[in-house]
Amino acid sequence: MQDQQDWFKCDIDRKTLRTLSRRANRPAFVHFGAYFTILSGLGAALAFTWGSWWAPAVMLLYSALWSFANAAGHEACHGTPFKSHSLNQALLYLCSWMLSWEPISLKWVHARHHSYTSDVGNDAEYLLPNPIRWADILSLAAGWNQVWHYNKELVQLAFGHVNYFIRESVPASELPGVLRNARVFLLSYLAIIGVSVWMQTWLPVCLLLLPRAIGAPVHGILRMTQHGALATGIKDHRLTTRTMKLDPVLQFFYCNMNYHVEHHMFPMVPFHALEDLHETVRDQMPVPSKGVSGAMAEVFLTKSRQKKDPGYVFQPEFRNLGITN
Amino acid sequence: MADKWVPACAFDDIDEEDVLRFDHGDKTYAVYRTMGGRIFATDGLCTHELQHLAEGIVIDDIIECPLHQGRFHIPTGKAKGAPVCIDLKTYPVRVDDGEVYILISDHLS
Repeated sequence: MQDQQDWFKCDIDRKTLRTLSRRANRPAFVHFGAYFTILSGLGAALAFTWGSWWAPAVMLLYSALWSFANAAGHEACHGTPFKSHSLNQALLYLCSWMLSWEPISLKWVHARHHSYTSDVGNDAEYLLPNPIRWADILSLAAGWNQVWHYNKELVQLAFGHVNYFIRESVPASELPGVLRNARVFLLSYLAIIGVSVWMQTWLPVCLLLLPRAIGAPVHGILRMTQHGALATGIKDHRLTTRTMKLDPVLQFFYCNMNYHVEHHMFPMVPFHALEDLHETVRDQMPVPSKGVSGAMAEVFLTKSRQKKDPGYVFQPEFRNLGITN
Repeated sequence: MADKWVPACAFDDIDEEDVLRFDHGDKTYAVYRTMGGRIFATDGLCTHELQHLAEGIVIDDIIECPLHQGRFHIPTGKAKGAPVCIDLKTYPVRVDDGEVYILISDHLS
């Protein structure tokens, strides 16, 4: 009768959690409708300014915004933003296409990240090993290692090669769908390059393929804040994962994923209810980091302390438990 | 191997669109009340990573696992896609005088 998952969980009334976990289509329609409208507007602006001196600046902004498909796709991967399963799947496939993810394997590998969060060797999404090295910080902040990882994985899958984490995470019965998706995605990317060559303009490539690389640092830095410099191998998300306060604009595009401890502890709560969940359990949680800069300062402080003590990890401060660092 | 009706809980113990954990012998079960007051019972642990489904959320006729959001069709136990692909075992239920009973094989209790 013993379940396998024995992660620490905050006390929360079952009915409150059920209310917070309730699904609805409207909040996601409003949120992702706004996101894709703004993104499309910037795409149109890029096409309009193409060939002018404005184009590089618009391209940067467009790519930065494109990178927040990571947050949208992550939510869809959990199947939580919409009540409708079909809409969640549609959002997952769209964002996966935007980021060169293969959506079926992503679901299984990401499930493993939730089972083995920051369990070195088992967590495929553990990205900043302790003791922290500058090379890892720079690589993660650039985000290009992830771009390389997912594109390489997609090409490998298209040619039938299944890597270790996918082989370990995805049941054999699911693999045909994984290979099919990879092939369809890869062919569509090649078609975009073909159209660019045929039209003798790189606009299609800049609109649909390059943003995933150019915008990668935005999400790379955000990903570093999620678990960077924190404890490993402990079944308490409050010590392995970071919640931070963000300004409303960044929080909007990041789909409230700054409440990352809350997300890991109660992953069935949809993104639009995470702020309410945070308020509900805040007295049992660490004090949130102060923005991306505060979180990054914690990473750098930890790196500095690890010079003397390679085993040091950042200890979050708790409000009411008498635990301080 | 005889089957027997085992009392699991009172009908009113379960809210509409909710699920309750029921342990019997060395097994754990999930008892559901869906919209319209229909009652169902399945194995209590997700077939993916043995998480208690009673901590999950009922959405129409679907139970969603709290850990990875694997989804099962409650009446049939059918797995509805990644990250679950093994169906849940379902059990006959009956409501008698406000009490929910599950039909369990003797060798399972």
